[in-house]
Amino acid sequence: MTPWMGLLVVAVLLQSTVLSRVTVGGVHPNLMLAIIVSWSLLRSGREGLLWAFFGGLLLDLLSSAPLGTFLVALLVTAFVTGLIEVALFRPSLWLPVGVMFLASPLFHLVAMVMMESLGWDVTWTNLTSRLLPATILDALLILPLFPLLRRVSDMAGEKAIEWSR
Amino acid sequence: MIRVRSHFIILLAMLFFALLLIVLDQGARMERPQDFGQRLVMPAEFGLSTLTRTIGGLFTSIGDIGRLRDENEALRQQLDSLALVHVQLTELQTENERLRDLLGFQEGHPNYTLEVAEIISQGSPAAVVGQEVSNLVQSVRINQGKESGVEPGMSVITAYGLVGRVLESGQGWAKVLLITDDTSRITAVVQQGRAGGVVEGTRQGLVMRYIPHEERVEPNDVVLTAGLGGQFPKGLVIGVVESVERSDINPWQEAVIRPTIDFSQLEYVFVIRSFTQVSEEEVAP
Repeated sequence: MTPWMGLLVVAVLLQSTVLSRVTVGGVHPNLMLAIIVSWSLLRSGREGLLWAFFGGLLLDLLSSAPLGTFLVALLVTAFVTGLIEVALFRPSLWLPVGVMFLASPLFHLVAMVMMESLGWDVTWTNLTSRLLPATILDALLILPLFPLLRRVSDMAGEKAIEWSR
Repeated sequence: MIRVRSHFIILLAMLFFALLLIVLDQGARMERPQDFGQRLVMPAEFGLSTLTRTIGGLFTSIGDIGRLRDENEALRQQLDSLALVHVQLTELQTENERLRDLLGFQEGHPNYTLEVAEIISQGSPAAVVGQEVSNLVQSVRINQGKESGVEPGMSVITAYGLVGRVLESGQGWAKVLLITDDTSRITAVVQQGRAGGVVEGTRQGLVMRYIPHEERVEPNDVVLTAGLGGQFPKGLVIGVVESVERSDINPWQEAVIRPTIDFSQLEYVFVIRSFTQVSEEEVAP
């Protein structure tokens, strides 16, 4: 646990006050998801899981979805993203964008399954038209965010993997 | 491989803890931790929310835009309030006619027991603190909760119309599900022709479904809550008909409804704490 995890509190506050007002096609970018995916790629999968745990709890606290929805969704997403980090040797800076095209639909689908299983009436129709705009926005958000978090990661020390610049 | 396995074990441990939290929450044992968390986060969130609105306002106030914006806002508010008065007067007139019919109907059918519902009290205004943090739910959080008598199921409104209903409440906070959420279903009636239907949320707006084919619904007709099922009081403005889709092979019509509220700009709302059913004797002269 590091003081840098305070970033998660800032992220959830920005999400509920600023980013929730940035709506394109009925959806807004998910800052918390972008941070967790970036951190899982930059650091070890273990750190990604730890951040996902606290990030998920914060999202659940402020969301109207049932408690546990985003906690489980972020944990699963961080785990899968951590596997990519382990598997790739020399990742390029475009990798986070590509990974987001996998991570964002995975995150939303797991969250929807969680909501359904916790008694929420989830609409499964028009899934592509609903998830695609969110995925594109999340991928756009990770472009400027990733270099910033790489600096934070450098400051935090003990990098798990060396990234080409 | 060993690393993946160790990550998998960590994942399983965290999922187990998540499951524990879910079970505790289902048994309503997470209220205190949630209250504590909300109390920690809400002041910063409220400050940031106010700052965001102020900065947003500053950007649009450059030069002459500010004066025009104020003037436009004043005119819009005047128009909205007049529209609201018009809606209320028309509704009262229609209701008066209906009650007269009802009294006549009751006299002709003495074995029927009829009740008329009416809103009799409104709660205190609550400030909107934060918007929903995910794309899967449409909701807002407000700074009034159990201490003000705000309970799940209560209707939330502004002067311009229906906002939604309280989903969950704690000490000093409540989560409000907006009527535009996918799961929102409201029995509704078109003010002008009294056509009934169900207004459903579509995330980006509202659609009124199951309007009988023979009913007449036109653009700019006002859609109100029907008050059936007891979820919402009757007569609350939901929106205005934007377009109507009819087909000869479909027994139902569908209407796209434009909400009277800009949900992204919500600042203050009212929570209807109670609405009491007025017996027919009280209505009768």
